[in-house]
Amino acid sequence: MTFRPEEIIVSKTDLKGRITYANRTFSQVAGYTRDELMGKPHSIIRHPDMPRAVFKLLWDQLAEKKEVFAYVKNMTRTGDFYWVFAHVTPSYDEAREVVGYHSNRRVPDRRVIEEVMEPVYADLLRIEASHANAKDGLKASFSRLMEIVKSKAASYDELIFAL
Amino acid sequence: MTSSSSRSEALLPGALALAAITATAAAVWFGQTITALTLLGVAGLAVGFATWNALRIAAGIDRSIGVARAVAAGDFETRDLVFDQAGMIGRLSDAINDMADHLDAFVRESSAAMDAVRHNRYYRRILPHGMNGALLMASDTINEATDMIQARIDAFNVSTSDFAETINSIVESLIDGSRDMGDAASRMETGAGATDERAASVGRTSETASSDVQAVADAAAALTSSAKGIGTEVDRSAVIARTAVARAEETGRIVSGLSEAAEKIGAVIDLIDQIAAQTNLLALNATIEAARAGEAGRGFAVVASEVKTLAEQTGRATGEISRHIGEVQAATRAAVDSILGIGGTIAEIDAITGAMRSSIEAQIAATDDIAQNVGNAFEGTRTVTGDIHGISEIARETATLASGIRQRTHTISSEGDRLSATVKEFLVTLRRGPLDRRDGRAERVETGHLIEVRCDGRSEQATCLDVSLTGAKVKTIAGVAVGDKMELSGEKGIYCPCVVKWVGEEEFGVEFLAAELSEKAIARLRRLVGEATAAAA
Repeated sequence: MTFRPEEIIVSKTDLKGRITYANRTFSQVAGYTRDELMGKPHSIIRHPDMPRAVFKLLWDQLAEKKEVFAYVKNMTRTGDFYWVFAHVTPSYDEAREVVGYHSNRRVPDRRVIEEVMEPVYADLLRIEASHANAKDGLKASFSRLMEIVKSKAASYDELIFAL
Repeated sequence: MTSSSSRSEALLPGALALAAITATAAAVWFGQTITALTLLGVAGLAVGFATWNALRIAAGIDRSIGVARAVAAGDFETRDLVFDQAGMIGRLSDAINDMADHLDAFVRESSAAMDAVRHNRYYRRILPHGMNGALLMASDTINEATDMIQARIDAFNVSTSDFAETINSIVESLIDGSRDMGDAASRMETGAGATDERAASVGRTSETASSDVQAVADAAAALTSSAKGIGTEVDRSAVIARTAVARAEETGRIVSGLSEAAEKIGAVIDLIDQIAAQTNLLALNATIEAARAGEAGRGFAVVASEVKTLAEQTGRATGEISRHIGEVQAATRAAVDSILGIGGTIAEIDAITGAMRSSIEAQIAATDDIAQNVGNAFEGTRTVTGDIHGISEIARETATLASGIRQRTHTISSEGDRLSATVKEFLVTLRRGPLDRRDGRAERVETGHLIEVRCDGRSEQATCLDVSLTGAKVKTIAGVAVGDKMELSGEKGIYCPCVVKWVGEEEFGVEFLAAELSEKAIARLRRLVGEATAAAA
């Protein structure tokens, strides 16, 4: 399942990650109607190949009111998958309080997926699976992710933009 | 999906109702009541559908108006949440949501990219995917601007670090140089002090030497005159000696004459003695003759005896005279001998005084020489004393100059440090925010609130008259001077380090040390300036 480069998959969630808006592209690519998506947790499209460390990073960044980029493998209603390059940012109200999160997903670079993301995510996933305790697994794979970032660039963001 | 299909979608229920009503009218005309009623029912359904459709479209348009107004008001959170509507209202809803999504994406991307630049992160670019048309062009423009800013910042960083390095090395060598110069000046000062001391000591010694030499000169002069006196005395004694020799010789001659006279007397005495012996013999003969003459001769015998006694007496007297003459002769011989001895002695004295005369002359010449040399020496010591005074003066002047140089080198060192610190501060300010400068930065706003001024460990209350992001004006407090470093605080725990730039009669101005301002302090200043500007507006 794919979408065109000039299109973006858009969704908005509340502070708990429940979908409050999805655009048509989202609905078409994921295979859910928008009425089905509304109010559901965003993890409805989470693919089992995604390491949890990536989502920890995402939520950590958002908690600091920072934007976050991530290459994400998602799962459609039929169990099919699609890769996106996601950009998640907080949404603010007039009082500049965070009221929710917004995600724009773009067509990713195939080369980055194949050469970088798939091997790295597989590595992280192996680490997470190797621990009986899910918490320990997440801790280990998150520190592995940080190690990879540190060995390549000054920060995660810089690394993502350098890919 | 075209406007023609939208038109047909809008017209269809009405057209259908119109057609059913027309058909109903035709059926009534032809008296087909059943058909007419059926058609009327169809027409009614068509009108109902048209009404429902019109309400649905109106509701859809209302939602779209709501989203459009929200977007126009800058609210990108609002969307039409009634999805998958049939027909044009569904398309309108999706189109309006799409529009909001793309504008939302552009706003999020461009503000994130600019925010990154604000925080000096230049790798963040707007992602072009999903951007089309003017949004894509605007994204490209912003990305190109970011590229350019990054290139300039890189170039700026290279030049400022080059500049900092150059300045630091200049300042370092300046400080090193001035330190060396200061050391040299210190040594020079010490050396000049020692020279002064030694010159003073030499001066004193030279003065002593001078007076000693003067004393020697006096002594030499006295010696010369006493030698000359001795010379005169020796001359006189030589004359006396020569006179004495002449007298001794004369005396010798006189005494010799006496001896000769004594010898002559001896010869006379011998004659008398012979006469006396002959007289005695004659007396003896006379006695004998008198004895023969008997009585007649008695008187004669008495005379003869008297003559005999006289002769005997004469003989004794001459003997005694001879003895005396012998004694006289012995005495004269001794006198001659001793006179000769005296003459010899006096001649010796004369010779000695002659020798003395020449040695006294040599002595006089020597003392003259001494006097002259001592005079020269005196002149010499006087010159030395004068020169030494000159040296002392030069040494003192040298010490003063060296001390001046030493102080200057301190000034150079501290100025160098200050230059270094100023350049560092300047560069930190430059690097901190080449993009953090705004036109409003120097905008002053009047405040008039009480602040705490901390300076040199003192803390005082003062009134802040006005403030900007770069400095403030404060009502004068005692003891403030240009160049003082202080901290101003208008809010507990937040201090703004600054330096006094000018001091007037009633107020003084400070400039904030940008490099030392904490985030809190900067935020506080921004808030102050912002609040006041907002209030004025």
